Amino acid sequence: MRILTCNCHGLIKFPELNLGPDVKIEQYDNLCKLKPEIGADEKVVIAGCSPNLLEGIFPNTNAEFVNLLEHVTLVNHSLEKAKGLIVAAVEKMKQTPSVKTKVFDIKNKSALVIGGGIAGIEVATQLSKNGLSVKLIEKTPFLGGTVAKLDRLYPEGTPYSHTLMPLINKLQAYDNVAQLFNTEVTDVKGRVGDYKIKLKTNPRGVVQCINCGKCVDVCPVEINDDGKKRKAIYYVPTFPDMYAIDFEACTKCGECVKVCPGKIDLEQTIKETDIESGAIVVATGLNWYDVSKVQEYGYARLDGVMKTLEFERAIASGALQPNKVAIVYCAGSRDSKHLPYCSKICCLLGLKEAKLVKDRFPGAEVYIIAMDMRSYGTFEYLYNTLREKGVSFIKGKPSEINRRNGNLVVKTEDLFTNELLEIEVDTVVLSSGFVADAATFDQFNIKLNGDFPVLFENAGLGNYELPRGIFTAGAATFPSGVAETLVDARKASFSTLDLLSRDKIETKIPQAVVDEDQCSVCRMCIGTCPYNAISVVDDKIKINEELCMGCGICAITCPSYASQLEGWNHSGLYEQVRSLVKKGDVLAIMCRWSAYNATERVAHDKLKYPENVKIVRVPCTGAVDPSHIMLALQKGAKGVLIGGCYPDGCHYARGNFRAKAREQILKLHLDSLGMDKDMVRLEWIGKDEAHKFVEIVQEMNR
Amino acid sequence: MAKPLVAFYWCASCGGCEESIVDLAEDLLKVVDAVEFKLFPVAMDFKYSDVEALPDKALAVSFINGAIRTEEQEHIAKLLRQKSQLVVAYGTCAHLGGIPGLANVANRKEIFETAYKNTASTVNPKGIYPQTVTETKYGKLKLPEIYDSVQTLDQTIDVDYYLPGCAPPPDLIMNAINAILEGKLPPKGAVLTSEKALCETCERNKSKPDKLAIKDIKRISEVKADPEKCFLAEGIICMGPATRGGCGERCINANMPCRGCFGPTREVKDMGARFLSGLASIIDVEDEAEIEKIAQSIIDPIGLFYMYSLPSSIINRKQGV
Repeated sequence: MRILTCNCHGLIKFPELNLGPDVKIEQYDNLCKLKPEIGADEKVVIAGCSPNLLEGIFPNTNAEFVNLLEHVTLVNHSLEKAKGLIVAAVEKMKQTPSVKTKVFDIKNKSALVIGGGIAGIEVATQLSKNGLSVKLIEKTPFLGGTVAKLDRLYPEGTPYSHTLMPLINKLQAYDNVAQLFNTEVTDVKGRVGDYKIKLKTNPRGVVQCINCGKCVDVCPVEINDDGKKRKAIYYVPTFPDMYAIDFEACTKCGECVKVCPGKIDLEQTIKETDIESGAIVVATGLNWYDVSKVQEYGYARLDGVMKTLEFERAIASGALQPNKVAIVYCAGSRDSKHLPYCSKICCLLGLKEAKLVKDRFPGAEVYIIAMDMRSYGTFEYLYNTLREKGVSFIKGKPSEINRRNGNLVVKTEDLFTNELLEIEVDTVVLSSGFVADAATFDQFNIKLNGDFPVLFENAGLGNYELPRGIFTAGAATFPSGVAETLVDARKASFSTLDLLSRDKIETKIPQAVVDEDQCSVCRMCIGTCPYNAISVVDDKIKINEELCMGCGICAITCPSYASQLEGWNHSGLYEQVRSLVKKGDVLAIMCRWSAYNATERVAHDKLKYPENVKIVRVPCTGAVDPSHIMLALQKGAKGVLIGGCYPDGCHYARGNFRAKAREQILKLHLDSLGMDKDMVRLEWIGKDEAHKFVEIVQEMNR
Repeated sequence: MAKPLVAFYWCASCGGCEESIVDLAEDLLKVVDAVEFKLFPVAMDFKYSDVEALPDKALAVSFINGAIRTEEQEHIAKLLRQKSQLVVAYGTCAHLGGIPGLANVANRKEIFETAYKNTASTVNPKGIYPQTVTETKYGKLKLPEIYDSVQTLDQTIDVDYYLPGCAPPPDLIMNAINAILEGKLPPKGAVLTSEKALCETCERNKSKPDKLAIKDIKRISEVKADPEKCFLAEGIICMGPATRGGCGERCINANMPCRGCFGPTREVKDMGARFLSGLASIIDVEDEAEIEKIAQSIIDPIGLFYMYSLPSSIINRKQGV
């Protein structure tokens, strides 16, 4: 084994090491520039600066990193400690088999784009422009998505069509894009570069169409489509240029068939298609929060209480002429009972609706009731414009909305005047937030972290993530306005092009490996996997290499150690702990995504902590083995700290909850062994919480 | 040809391992035909001096059951090691410490106080406890010293093989004896049973849902267990996933969950910690307070996770006593 050491131009001092003839020590001044060759299956210990840096410089290696710079040099700890850390790393690597190199062939160079809104249209355009074969699927009969339903776009009030139609027309110029309407994904199998997808195409009903519109005249079924009335047979003036039947509303009376000069088939059947693609772009757009859940605001219970989209469409279609309008902000947003987050664009949508009223009905009174106004960036001028136009802004959060004497009464506090107000209006607009398209993300096994997906691939941060070849674009990623959606769509297009331009991807992402000779198929691991990557195939436990992200939760669940996480196998960590921990030490086992970063920050924040605190890096708190904690205590450690991401922020969705349960039961056991259960602590330590780390280890050291 | 010489010795045990020899039924006759016993305290009258008189390695194999907790047990275990080519730790107590190993939650003084003074049926107003040496008018009487901690056999002497179980089942005993007689032994250190956990062969495993997710932890005494269903899936603690198979699921068939007498699988150093980790992982709750509450519902974690394996575990006794 080789130990590669870097003294960072003389900054880092090294201890004298003699680890026998099998361990070769190489010293470098600046490892990051010299980049010595490391064999694919070679095991090395790299001792220098942060693994967060070095992993980027030496990707796809079997290395254990020792952060001498931030864990020894900059915190003025001794060379003796440095020696202990290096020796423990060597002991770990001796017992740790090489991580297998995974090769993903990019067999299929085409892309599937899901969602025919502006994001999907833009992605499909960019990809086809660059020569890729693209399938664009849209679940409704028309392109355009949410934008096609709007009257105008903020901030200028541009008619929606002036933005949407050029995008659609640009797309139609390419013949390597297939557009499938009324189409949804029903099943996805495969992996990056080689997806097999089942599509379901629902009937459109209209087969041949000359856009005469006679069918609409005779259709007896009228429905309310987000605030605007339309018939069961209808047309959205985007693309394609043909009518469609909304079969959820259609009674199949046949009146349209009689007048149609083209062809309408009411008995069209569902069509299933199998397609293949190398990458998938999810562009399923905005999903409104069900604001009727905010019961005190009376949506769906009180006439005249509507959502922003309905309000805009009702005004645009001439169905509504309000005199007094109250626009209630954050209806269900930033509220622990509903949506705990800010959806970012609803403030601007509210301003847009206020402007719409003022433009159409200058005499109408408009009240905007908001706790805060987040007209971020240059959108501030939209807010200023409306102030000048006489919109009344009230700082408050309405407690309830009721009907009285034919009017709607909004009860709210005005936090500037400390008055309780009852505002009588004829129309209330609820500016509510948005939720993630959980069903689609679930279909693609994309975990939501908190409320929206965490997509490292999108951000190009996927160094230690399994490449999935699944990207999101536009408001599916997070609610966004038109301009931001288009920018995001171009980013997703680039990521997709970057992926599909390769022949293969090679990575050494650690994954769980099951030893069939040890596995009893007890299935305890299956439900603990955050990625649904474990299943029983032919009476054997199989890890799906296309899904395993390498958190190690299953490995620490397995009562037989039959499942092991590559690079972090139990015996390697056992030896590391055994070698490292001396009597009176505090062992800190830190999650690489959060707490470990805090331990590095300590050095830069010029904080101090005692030398006997020894830090070990693990992929997740969910991969911390109670046996190793017990080993440290048995070796005489004063305490063992497990540090990880905050409850809702676990990088692997819920590893920290597994850690919590293990910690709790372990504490119970320690207590019955007559030990102080507080010797073991599981703490949530954010990346930047160096102070918190130092406080905790100082407490544990007392 | 001379028959191989064999010793069958007991240490801290209950006698169940001796009983398991009787349970061999007619197979016992084959064993008696094939070997010659040189020490078998429960059944035959040999003296320790008979063993001491043997040349080193004269015994083909010594089967030693029971944990080590007295001076005498340690002495004879070491003697048998010296005189034997092979030593087999016979039964759970020799293998992992077993039920006597639970004495590691106390020390000698506490145990004496309980056994010789504090129990309701004991009358000992003078507070007389066993002594290693007692002066009498006939001279000094000696008793072997009882240690503070119970040890496994391999913490005292080098052990070649382990025959697990409380007590080992007849088929595994015969397999082991045949393997020794035929010289067809696995690598040293092997546990002579299945390499996989009990779930591998448990009938109830089939009833287990793919995703185990429990919201509370039940004790077998609190519920009426469905004899068809996997205990764990019902929230009843069953050590099956953490315990080697090969036992014939005797407890499971009697509608009792596995408590782990066959010990852990090959890679596992601490059986209780491993099972604890697995059990905690299937608690399907994502609320810190609720997780704490469920953990608190576990009564007697040592008795639950380490019923048979406390002396063999990483922290193998209660601290501070």
